[in-house]
Amino acid sequence: MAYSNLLKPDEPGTLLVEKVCTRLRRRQIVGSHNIALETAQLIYAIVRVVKFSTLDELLALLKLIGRRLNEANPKELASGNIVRRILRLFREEYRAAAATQITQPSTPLSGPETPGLHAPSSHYLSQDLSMTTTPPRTQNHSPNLGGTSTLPVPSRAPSLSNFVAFRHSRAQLERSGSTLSELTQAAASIENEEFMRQSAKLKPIFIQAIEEVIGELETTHDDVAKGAREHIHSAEVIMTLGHSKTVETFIKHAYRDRKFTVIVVESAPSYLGHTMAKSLSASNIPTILIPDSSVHALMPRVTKVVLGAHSILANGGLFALSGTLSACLAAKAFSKPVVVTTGQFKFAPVWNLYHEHGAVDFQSPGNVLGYEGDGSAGGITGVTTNAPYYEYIRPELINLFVTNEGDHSPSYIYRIIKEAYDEEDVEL
Amino acid sequence: METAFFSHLPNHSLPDTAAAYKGSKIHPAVIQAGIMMSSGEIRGANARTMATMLAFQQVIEEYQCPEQTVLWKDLPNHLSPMIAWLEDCRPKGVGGGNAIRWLKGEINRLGEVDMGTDIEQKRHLVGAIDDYLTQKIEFADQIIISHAQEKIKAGDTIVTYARSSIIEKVLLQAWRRMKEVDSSAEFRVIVVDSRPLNEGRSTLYTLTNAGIPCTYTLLPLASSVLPNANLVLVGASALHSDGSLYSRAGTAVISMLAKEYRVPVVACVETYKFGERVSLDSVASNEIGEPEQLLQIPGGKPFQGDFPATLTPLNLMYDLTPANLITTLCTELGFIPPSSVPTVLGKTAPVV
Repeated sequence: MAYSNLLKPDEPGTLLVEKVCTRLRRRQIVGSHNIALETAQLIYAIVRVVKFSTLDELLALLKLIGRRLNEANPKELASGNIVRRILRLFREEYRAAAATQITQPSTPLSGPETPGLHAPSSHYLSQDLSMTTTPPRTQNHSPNLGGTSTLPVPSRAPSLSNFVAFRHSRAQLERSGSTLSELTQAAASIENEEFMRQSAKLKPIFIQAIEEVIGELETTHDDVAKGAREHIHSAEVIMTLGHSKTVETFIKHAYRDRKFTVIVVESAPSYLGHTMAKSLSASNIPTILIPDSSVHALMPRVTKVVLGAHSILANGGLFALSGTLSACLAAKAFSKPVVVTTGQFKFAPVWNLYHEHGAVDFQSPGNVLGYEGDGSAGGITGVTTNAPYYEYIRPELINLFVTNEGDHSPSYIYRIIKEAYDEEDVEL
Repeated sequence: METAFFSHLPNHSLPDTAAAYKGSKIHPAVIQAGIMMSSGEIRGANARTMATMLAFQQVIEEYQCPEQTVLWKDLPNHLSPMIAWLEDCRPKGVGGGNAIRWLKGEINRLGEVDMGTDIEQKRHLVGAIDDYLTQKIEFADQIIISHAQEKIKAGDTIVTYARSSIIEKVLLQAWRRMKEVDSSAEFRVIVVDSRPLNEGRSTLYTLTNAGIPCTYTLLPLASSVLPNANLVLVGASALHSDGSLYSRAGTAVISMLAKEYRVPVVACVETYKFGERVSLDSVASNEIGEPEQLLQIPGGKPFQGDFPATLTPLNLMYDLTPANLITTLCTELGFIPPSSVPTVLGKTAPVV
């Protein structure tokens, strides 16, 4: 396998990538959330071990990894999304660092240091990059999100504040009418110059950025559920399908404030609905478990349909567990709102070109037909089965996406995707 | 959940056979038919109607009219506890109801027309029941088959849901006829099925035995097969006068998916299943299957030990497919739109 010169074929980093790819291929990691987490953790490990001298070199490597992961399982779009997100963050960090360098022309030598914020003498910052701070950023220490505290957090110089801080300060600058564009232009002008060679020094900040992504992923379910009470009124009848962790958290969150009933569709052949029903009823939520065939029959009694998604496409359509289309169509027929709860890591910059088979990721026919001897098909030969995991739902069937960052209508998804990823990363 | 929206629906329970035998008011043949319907051994509107009528035939044959009364007055009283028993075992449905109403009418007519002695009257009734079953089900089915098979062409992909005796016959007959004309011509059948009954397995078995190439899939996965389908064939338990189809739960789902993919849906129904009744949704009148069947999933039972008090398994047997999801009805009168049901009802109301 051709890797970049940063990762040689037999290095531990390469093996790590291969291991994740293998697990993806074998479907040992399934579910967008798990895959997103694995991807972020993989990149975290790689960035930590890899030695790079320029940013471009690092980005190229990450793109390569993203491509490998995508090839390992092309239907798991979450891995690519996370890679794109990290690429974007790295660039932003880089620009932020570059911008501070511009605002402090006295580089690379030591300027007046902020009292009490000395970098250790062994630290890279003390060697040649000890830049001073721009005032709005000094106070911004992002909290260590989501229990990643066991990871070694680099002692950061305040000048090279993290991504959140940068975004924050940028927002402040924008609000105060300051000229952000000047900063970014300046940053652009010094690319490929002196600063470029110092990209390696940004490693701790890059690692910090990945930690932030991991933290975000770990809190996604709760973040999505935050607004649950605003969407559910008392005595509703909510229909959901299969078992989506996001939906589960959403419903349980809403049940703290509102009392309602949940109808869970069992969702053959995975029967994840049974797991969902078990979990919800264990939390004392009135739950009705129904077979897939009752979706249309019970829809008139339902007040809202709350669904999970596998991945969300740029047109606002989505791939979701097989059976979702029936629920959405029935909801449409009876004019019931369909809400999709999802983390934004599932937003993929792709379009579904093959509506019928775009989502096809086939599972074992054994799940559908059963194996001989269980009294099912009685060992009939020559029968084919069709068992995709996911199916495509067109955007017109969805009313709202409830995400960890706000609620959006399907027609707005393309915009979020445009903002979340850099244009150049759409094709990994 | 006492106040749930489905609490009015009767829970399925096995009938009290011992009491029925002891009461001696119910003929053993009727008891047997009832038990078989209740357990699901006899399933499907046609099979149930035939079983009911054949049991009554036996009852009539063995019936002795008491001295002080006449047959046409006493026989209905003799039958009514048996009808109630059958209703107890399983609600009789529109088709069965129509047949019983016809039988009562036929008995009543004995009071108007002189048929001779009791024995002759009984013989007349037995013959009439035979005629009814032959005309309303057997002949009707043959005509429906000949109509429906016109819609199946070589190279087609036909989707069917669960099990319907008439659909099985249509597919087998169409296959046989296609092979007679051209031995290399064939069509495919996709059997869509759903838990907990998995009746499609039986259809699959019948069709593959006849050599028809089949694909088997489950209802939630059906959206992957419909884009390549040419026709959806469904059977029915009853047809309401607003044109909606009362059939095995899931028929509405497959019809809805078919509409989404613009595949025509043809429902094959004998006109004796047409009913005056209208129901606005599937929950107002339905049957509830055994919740146990729903909880038992392949590969284990997730609810072991304490069953959560807040969990209610709901296993509806039927659903209502709105008329707008059905392209056409295939009946013994030919292809008619669902909106013509009241017209047909008006025509056949005075059952002869």
